[in-house]
Amino acid sequence: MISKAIETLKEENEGEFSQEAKLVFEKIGDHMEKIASRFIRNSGSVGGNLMMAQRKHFPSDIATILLSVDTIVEIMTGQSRLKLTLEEFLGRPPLDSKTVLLSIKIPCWESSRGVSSNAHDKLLFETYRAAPRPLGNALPYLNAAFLAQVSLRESPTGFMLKNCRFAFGAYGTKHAIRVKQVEEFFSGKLLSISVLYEVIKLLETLVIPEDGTSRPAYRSSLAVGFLFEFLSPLIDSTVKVPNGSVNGYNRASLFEDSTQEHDRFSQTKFPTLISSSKQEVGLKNEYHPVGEPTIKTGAILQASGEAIYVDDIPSPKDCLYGAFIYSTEPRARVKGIKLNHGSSPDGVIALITSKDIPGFNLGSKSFFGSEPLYAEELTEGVGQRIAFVVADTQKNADIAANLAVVEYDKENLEPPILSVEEAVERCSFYNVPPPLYPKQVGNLSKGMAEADHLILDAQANEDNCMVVYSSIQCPEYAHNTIAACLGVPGHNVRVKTRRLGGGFGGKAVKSMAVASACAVAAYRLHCPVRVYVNRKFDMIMSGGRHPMKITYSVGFKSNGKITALKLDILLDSGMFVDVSPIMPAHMLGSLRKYDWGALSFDIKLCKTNLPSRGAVRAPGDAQASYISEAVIEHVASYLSMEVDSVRNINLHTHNSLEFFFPTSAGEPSEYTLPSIWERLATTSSFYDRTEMVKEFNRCHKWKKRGISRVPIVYEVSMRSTPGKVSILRDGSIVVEVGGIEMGQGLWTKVKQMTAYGLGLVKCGGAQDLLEKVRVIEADTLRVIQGGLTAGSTTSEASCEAVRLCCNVLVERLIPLKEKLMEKFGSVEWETLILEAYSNSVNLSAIALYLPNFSTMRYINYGVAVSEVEVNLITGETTILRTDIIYDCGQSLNPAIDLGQIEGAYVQGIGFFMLEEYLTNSDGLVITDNTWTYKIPTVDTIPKQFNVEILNSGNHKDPSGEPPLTLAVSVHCATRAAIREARRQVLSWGGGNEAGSTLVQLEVPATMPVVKELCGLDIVQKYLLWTIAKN
Amino acid sequence: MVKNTNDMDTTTKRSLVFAVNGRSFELCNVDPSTTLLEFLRYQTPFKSVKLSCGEGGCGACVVLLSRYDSATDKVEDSTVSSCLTLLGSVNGCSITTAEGIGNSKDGFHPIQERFSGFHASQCGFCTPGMCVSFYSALINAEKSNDRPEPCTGFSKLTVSEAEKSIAGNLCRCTGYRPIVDACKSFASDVDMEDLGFNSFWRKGESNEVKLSRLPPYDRKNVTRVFPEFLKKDSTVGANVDSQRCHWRSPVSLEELQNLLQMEDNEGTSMKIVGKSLEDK
Repeated sequence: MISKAIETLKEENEGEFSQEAKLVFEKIGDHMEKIASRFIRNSGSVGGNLMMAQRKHFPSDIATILLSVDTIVEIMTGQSRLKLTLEEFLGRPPLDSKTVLLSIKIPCWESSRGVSSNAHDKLLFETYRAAPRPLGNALPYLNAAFLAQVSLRESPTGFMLKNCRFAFGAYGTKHAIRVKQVEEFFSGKLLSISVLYEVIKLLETLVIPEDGTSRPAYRSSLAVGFLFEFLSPLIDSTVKVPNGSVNGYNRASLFEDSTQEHDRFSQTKFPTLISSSKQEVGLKNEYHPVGEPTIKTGAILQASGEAIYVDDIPSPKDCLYGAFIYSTEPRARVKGIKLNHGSSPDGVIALITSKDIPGFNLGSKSFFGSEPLYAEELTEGVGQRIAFVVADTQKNADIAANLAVVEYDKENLEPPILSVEEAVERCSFYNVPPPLYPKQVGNLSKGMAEADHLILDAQANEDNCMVVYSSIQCPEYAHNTIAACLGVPGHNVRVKTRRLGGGFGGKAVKSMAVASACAVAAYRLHCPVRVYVNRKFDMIMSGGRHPMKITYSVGFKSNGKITALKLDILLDSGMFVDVSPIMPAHMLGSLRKYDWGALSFDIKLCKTNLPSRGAVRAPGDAQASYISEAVIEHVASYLSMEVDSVRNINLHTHNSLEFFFPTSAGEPSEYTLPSIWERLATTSSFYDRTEMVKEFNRCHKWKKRGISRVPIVYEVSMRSTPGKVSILRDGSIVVEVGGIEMGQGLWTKVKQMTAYGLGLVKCGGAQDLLEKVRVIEADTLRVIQGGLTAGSTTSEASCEAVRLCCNVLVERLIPLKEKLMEKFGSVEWETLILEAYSNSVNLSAIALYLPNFSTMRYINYGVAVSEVEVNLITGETTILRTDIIYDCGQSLNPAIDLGQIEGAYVQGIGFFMLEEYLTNSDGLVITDNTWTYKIPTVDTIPKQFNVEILNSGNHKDPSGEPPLTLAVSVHCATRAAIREARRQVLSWGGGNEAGSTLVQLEVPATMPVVKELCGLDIVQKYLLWTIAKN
Repeated sequence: MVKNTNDMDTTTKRSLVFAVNGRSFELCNVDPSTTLLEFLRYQTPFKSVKLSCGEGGCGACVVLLSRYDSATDKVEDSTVSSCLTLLGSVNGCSITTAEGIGNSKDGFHPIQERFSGFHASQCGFCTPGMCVSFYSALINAEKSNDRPEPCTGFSKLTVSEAEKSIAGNLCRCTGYRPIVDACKSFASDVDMEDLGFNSFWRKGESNEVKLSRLPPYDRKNVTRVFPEFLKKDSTVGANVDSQRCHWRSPVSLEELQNLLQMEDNEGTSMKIVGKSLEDK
């Protein structure tokens, strides 16, 4: 097991090995701790890893590090055994399945090994990897391990290297390699800047990823960067070497006299994990228990695993299982489906296609249109459902679906539309119903005329991301879809939803088809059918966020005040409309966060033959936050102004807010953004830290920091939502609501509101009703008009519905209570209810909350300050600190809202920094698993994370989506750090495109993206500059 | 694993014996390609193990696997992804899921109570796996002999270990901070000031009061019992047969060589499931 190997390598074996050998072992152990995760290291073996590297070209870390230390392996084929160097082992053609790896031997290293003993020789050993997650659980873009012997005898001109072993791997190579030409290059040469430059030039020709590897230039630049990082401390002219031997290769002690210690790569060490956090939460109890930080309902059962999710419900007898077969052609006729390709699939019972649907061919039917359950004649995009295999087990269904071969015919078909540009050319758009299309703001030509400067035609492309799991956020719509699909009346269908393992929009419209498919199969086969959509197909089906192409023109004055903004946005909605028509309004909600003077926009929803996009948490708002900040940064860069002052000058006044948001701006006192903006500057020491960042950047060549303060404005609207409250004979209370519990704490807030609402009857024990309330699963026949749980306001609306029910019940109970009070002086809740039962008082109330037109839309505010550090060698961004103030209005439960804010923010970090949604040329997602789709982990969140919830009391508490957009502050801070890196390159005379300080930073700003903007050849530039300087 | 062979002669036993949360299971005729996850979810009431990625990348299905070493009379506890663990490999093991750590019937473990009170569970899909990962780190730290005795109410675990214990577990809802706080609350070197918003105490209370409000953790109560019936024959690997597949656990190189030869002679296909011999 890898974990056992690590333990052994790190064991303290006093005296058994030399200090140097121990250090090598320890570093190998340290590196191995970054392989996969602990629970994988506990079952994966070192040998298995090497065999995968040998046979399958697995991008192994173990192979690379062990290669650098002359590891010997022993293999067994049949009766014969063979000892090989790891290099020979890896270089052989893939071994057959009967060859067994018997042993792995790492030699004991000491500096005198193999050469004449020299007390002043020192063994250097370092390992490196660049991967999206610092603590592992992510494959590296490249890994490296360097071992060398350095003569410490001070010579007038430098050090000399001997016995070098430089290994690189995982960069798109069949197996880890040693760069022998580089190793030999050092022999007999004194280390110097120019030698280093030559070596790096040589290395560039040796570490070249194979064709088809992603980000090849980035990976090669990592090889250069790591070698430079390893060797440059030996070349620093100011370095003095301490006398005698040193304990281990430790740069700090090797160079303890160094005056430039601050510029060491390893110098700025901060903890890999979160080091501190603060939560400021205003607590109120005037509406007890509403507003109190009640623990989430069922949290303890979730911790013990006893909480039941859809897939935990035991299958009924004779249950069958289904799996989808989907299209891999964007536009083709489906001629046939062959199930038994090669091996015959076990347990297959039926293949369901569009012909088996008794009613309409409907996968989902919602506000703006419908999509077919299965493709009929023509496929309309990759990932479209074509058929449903039903088998005796989920495994067999999945295997059969995987092995199925679909025959296509593309003859005489128009080519598919695979880009928004083609969609424009062929006029392929979805309509946005006029009420949903936001109004233009102000007079654009007037605004443009006022401007001193214009920037035209800058472009930015948006990528998208998505989240997955199962079950549904809108049972009501699923219900309608299924009924139509089966051709039965609505009352023949019932959809139940208990809790979701997360929703985030991925279980809205897209989940309906899963339910419909089961329903159709069950209808046809007359037995229960169940489907667990596996990760891969779920990723394919969900479609992710809408990719966009944005073209903007912006006019502004010399002081940074923007006077006009014109946006042309092409949005790829994919093959089906889903809820795309809501996108313009959502985008504008966040786009109007600044006073642009005049704002004109043209948003087109392009109908393409790409996967249909969904409404992922903060749909459109996430992208719009990026667009707004890109414009602001562009203006600041053009004017060479501090970005923060450009933001500041363009913040809304209440007047301009009313101009931009005529129906939702609210009263001046409700516009809390300016005060939060100022307050956060103080509580986060923003100005002091801005100076400290500048100082840091002056002193550090290879790490740059950036800090950014960003406001968010997020408009939400309330929708009608039903609720039902019933009081049972024993005084316990049952509640049903339209909203779905998906982790956001809706049930908990509803419970609190029920306890408060019924407590208004003011009898004995009415203050302690919370524990008597139970919210039960949604059932589309018991409570109708449930709607859609989305848009951050469903908790609030469900609470309102419940409050209306409680009011009715309290009104019915009060006369009875007063009668009893007169008689007995006091009355307990239980007695009151019992009495109500004997008097046949109706103790069940149902209500549909209808938002008031004048208050249904309102705006949420928040500000975030984020500070990041970018490693210019790897492009890695570390979030050092984030401070947030979010105006929760009137938090129904601050503990839950805090969780929503932090959680949404970290999900936003995923969107802005990590989650790459890559597709093939037909649009089929290829980052469809946890190997390739990297969401944030505990080591990628801010090292310091401070959140303050402001209870301004203005509105209720939508906290689900708005805080996600605060994560744009990390993106902006990264951009600031990159700008510093580019300034530095410029100062080295690298006046090409990487020298420009206008930074168009993509989303997500992954390591390769950041490094490319910092300059892939930054090391070379530095060396050339240094050589020229001397 | 050996596919499609006829009556292989072997003297070792033909059933799998293991325990889940103390309950014993003895299986004959099990398809060795069944994963531990499939077995737990479909053939036991322990559904806390969640299928999320199916490839060891998320930690939602993590269980604790305990093995008894009769030579040292010690139990080794480590976490594994049950979605990647083949049932054939768990012979003689004692498996603990989140329900086994604590549950509504036998009482919850303070880990679960603190996860709840630190608001560390939102949708809850990752929570059982998180609890198991942390539980493993906790009991392994408690087993170490070279650490000083912690103060009452705390464990031998350090803050850094507590944080790293959940490093491979994915959570999409919380942003991790509250989970880290719940785990850190057990660490011997924790600064109570660093622990975030929770339902146990109010701001400004003294550290003693804070500690007293936490669901108590008592190191003396964490002794875990390894099922006696597994101690007897846990050293021998199982050989299991089903209609399609057979599982063989060779204990010597010769045995392995013989098995490998069989592939040549009998036209069976074989897959070696990596398990180093010195582990035995």
